Amino acid sequence: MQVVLEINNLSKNYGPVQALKNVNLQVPAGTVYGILGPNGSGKTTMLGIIMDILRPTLGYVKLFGETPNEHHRKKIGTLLETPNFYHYLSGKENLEIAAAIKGVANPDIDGVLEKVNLAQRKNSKFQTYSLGMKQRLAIASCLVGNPEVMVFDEPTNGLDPVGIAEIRDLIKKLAREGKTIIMASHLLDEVEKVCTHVAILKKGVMIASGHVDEILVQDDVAEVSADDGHALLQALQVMPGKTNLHPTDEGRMAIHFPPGTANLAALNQHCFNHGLVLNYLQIKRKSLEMKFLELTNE
Amino acid sequence: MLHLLKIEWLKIRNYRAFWVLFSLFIIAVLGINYIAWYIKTQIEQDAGKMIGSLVGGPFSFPEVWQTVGWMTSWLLYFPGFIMIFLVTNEYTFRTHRQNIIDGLNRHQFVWVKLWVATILAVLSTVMMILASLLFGILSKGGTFEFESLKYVGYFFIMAMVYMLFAFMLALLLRRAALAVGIFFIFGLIFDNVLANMVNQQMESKLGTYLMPIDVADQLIPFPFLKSVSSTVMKQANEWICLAICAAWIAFYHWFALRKFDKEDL
Repeated sequence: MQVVLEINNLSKNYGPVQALKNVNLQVPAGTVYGILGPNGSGKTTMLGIIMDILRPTLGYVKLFGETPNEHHRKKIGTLLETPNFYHYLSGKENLEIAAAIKGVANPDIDGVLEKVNLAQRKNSKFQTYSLGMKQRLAIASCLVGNPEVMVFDEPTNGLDPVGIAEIRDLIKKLAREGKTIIMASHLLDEVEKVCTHVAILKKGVMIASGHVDEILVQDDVAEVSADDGHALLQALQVMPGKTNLHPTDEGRMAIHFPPGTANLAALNQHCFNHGLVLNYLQIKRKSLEMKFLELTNE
Repeated sequence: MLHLLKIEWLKIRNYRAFWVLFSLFIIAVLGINYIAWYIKTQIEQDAGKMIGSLVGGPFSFPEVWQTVGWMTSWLLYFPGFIMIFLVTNEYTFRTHRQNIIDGLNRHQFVWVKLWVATILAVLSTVMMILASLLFGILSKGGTFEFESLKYVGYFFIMAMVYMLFAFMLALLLRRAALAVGIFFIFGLIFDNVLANMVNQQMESKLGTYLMPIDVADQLIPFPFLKSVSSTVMKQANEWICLAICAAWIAFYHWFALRKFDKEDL
């Protein structure tokens, strides 16, 4: 499979601060690759280096298998950090500039504005736009020239819930058309809903990368309690198939099983066989935020 | 380059501050020369030909090129401000990043701005030529000769130095208000004061040669009261000034390209 983006041993220092440490990544064509990490984890720095607006301290980047130059960037629609447009120009005029820079001969500017629901305000000055409209214009700008690769940095920033849903649908639609999309986000559910692959950044270090189903795998967790906590602990320790066992904040016990293998009846039977009657038994999905914190905390 | 200039045109086309400032510049060029022309004709009328001849005939050909060039050079701050705004706008709107992201390379971004500076200098020179012709024709007497046309070339070099100095300030400071303030105060006051202080200390023109604006100002010397000023004021060497201006122009190009190439945007 063709590799759209390759990052090798990339490091970036801002004075004494190390924003990226030895990051490696490969983005195959046709994937929706999420870059997940909390604020300040180095996502935008990484994308900035790819787009040549930041200089790496060490390491290198390749686009389409080559050392990046402006001709590669013309073929990529990029929204980085904030929508950057000329305030005194209208949305349409701003996109005309973007199209001219990209060298798009006959840009369908009305069409892309239509796609992000901005057609009605296309002749208003950018400075009169709301935050959400600015974000939509930035996404429209990425669509100019119908590029095969798109980079979105926090694409749903500043949008209302309807806008968020629209943009996520748009990204999924683009993915179905076979586009390669690299999307940075601090929202785990966004990455989970939209992306096929994910790389997790934490304080400039890439701690995991791969298919979403492999990285964001979620254990089945059952919570149980009984009158005799000590006996319960002993019984659960010999429960076959468990992967983890720990007390919860409510004083119950949480027992983990590999995804899709928790069987409450078997668990109940197991405890009963050990002479215990459970007074609480419930399967709990571990929340995604918990998973995220687990991944990004020590 | 034509394609890049077309992109710059898209940015300027509907930029009102540009058109307002540029229109004011055109009016001001005609205005400032009219004021000087009016005062000169009044002196001749009221004080008689004796004093009139002392003032000289700076608005007839061929002196008019020098006179209008000198008067108009005071207004080079206007196109300089335009230059500053066109650059600091990119920083303010962070479009200097977006332009690169969208597919310019860093050198293209700087080169087209250097071309914009050149175009502003050309437009300023065109205004200087038009005003010279206008007031030269208005003042009767005098003959057309080619030697004084050198002041057109000198004015262009002066305008280049002003535009590129403004460009450098905009690149360094990134903020319009700061760059405009420093450009104006430095060019008008400090540059002169420092040059004169060094000149006085060294009893030479060294200060003038060291200061980036003053050295360009020397290309078109004070045109009035020539009979007096030429004996009182020591003139800087024309060729040395030209060489230093050329060096500054080259330096500004090198500096801008290098700065934008190396740094994080």
